[in-house]
Amino acid sequence: MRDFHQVWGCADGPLKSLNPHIKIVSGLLTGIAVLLLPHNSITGLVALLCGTILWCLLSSLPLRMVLHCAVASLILFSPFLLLTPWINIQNVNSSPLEGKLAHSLGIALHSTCTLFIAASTVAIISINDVHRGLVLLRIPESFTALVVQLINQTMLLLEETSRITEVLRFRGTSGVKGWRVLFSFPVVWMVRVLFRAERSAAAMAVRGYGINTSLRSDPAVLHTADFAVLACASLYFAFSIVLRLVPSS
Amino acid sequence: MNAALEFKSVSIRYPRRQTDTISNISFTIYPGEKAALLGLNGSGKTSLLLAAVGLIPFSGSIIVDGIPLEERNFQKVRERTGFLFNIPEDQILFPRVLDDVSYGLIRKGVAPLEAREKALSVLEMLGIDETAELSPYQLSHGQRQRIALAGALVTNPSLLLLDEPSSALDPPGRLSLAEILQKIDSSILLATHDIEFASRICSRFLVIKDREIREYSSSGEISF
Repeated sequence: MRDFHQVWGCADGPLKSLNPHIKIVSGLLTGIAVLLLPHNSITGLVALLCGTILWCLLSSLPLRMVLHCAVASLILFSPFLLLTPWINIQNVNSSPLEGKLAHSLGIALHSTCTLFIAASTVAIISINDVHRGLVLLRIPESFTALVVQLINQTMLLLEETSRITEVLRFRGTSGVKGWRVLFSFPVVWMVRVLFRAERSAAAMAVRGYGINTSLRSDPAVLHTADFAVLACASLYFAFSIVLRLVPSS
Repeated sequence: MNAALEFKSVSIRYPRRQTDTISNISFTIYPGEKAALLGLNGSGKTSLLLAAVGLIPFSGSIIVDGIPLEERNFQKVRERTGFLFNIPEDQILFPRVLDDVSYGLIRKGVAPLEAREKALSVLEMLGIDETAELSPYQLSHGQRQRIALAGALVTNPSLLLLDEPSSALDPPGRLSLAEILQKIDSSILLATHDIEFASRICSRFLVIKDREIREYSSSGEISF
């Protein structure tokens, strides 16, 4: 957790050489397309899996992160799959349990693919580029300021969390006692987070960071690769909409 | 010429406290003057600095560079002031050092390229130009403190309010920071309990004791 910032820009695939705003837009389009593609048709399923695998390959997502994403997906969606028998869906043609299982597996599949796309996109954008990428997108400044701050504060919070964990460990929180202290963690953590939030808000006020924040960057020079990836991501996105709108036979 | 900072009968009391943190204090910092604000832990040094930029409520009158500190003037006052918080992480707002340091200039309308060049020169002056392209999360506490200071210095503010600027620095770092602060033209109010560091920079020493302020012209006379 201490080195969480190293996740940003840790991949070195061909997509890493793109301009930061192209990476953000293309990742976003691919991520949304993966969510939209229907999993109950062969075409949709193939497009869904191929799109995800291709994006991960072109990013060269490190194996360590692939494993982390797989474990995260398992932790997040296994409990959900266990609830399958109690899912209530209408218009199920196949046998009830089979239909319910297909439904929950579909949700798990879409979410897992989106998780991989998001992780790959984060892995090709170095944290230094996030701010520049958002500025180049020319979205409203207050939104950019908010996103940059969300990322910045999350990083600092993870660092703080790591420090608190180390202190708790040092102060003898292993074994049976450890469990007792574990429950006090949110209390210790929350107080620190609240104080930090207050202090950061004060610093933002002094530095004039807020609604009227001025965020600027030099213009970016787009290359052929930028146009190509953006065009492919847009086509993939459009294809997902078409497949979603055309009813499967 | 306007005083850089003027406190007139200022008292600070936090909500739900029975007594004032600082009671009825008055002092003036003149343009270009460098003064140290000394006192024991919890004596109110940080509160006084926070009040000087309108971050905590106070009674009395505070005037910064001729501008009375009222809610409608907060922005004007803060634009003229460089502030170093005692926890540098709190004031680093960007995931890249160079973006953070150049932010103050970009906000003032300086072109991004020019702002980055100026920011680089300030980082160089503080001996941390090699961190320009890094993320603050990769750096030590001392380096972050100097980055926060660079962000405060980059706009050449008329008043610098520094809260424990040397607390995370090693002895050579402290010495070089003292030399840099000696040379700059801004008025400085430096809160610290490091008398040796303060005496390298400041010609006046304001000591907060028992919620009141006492003034000394030499560090040898100071008693807490």
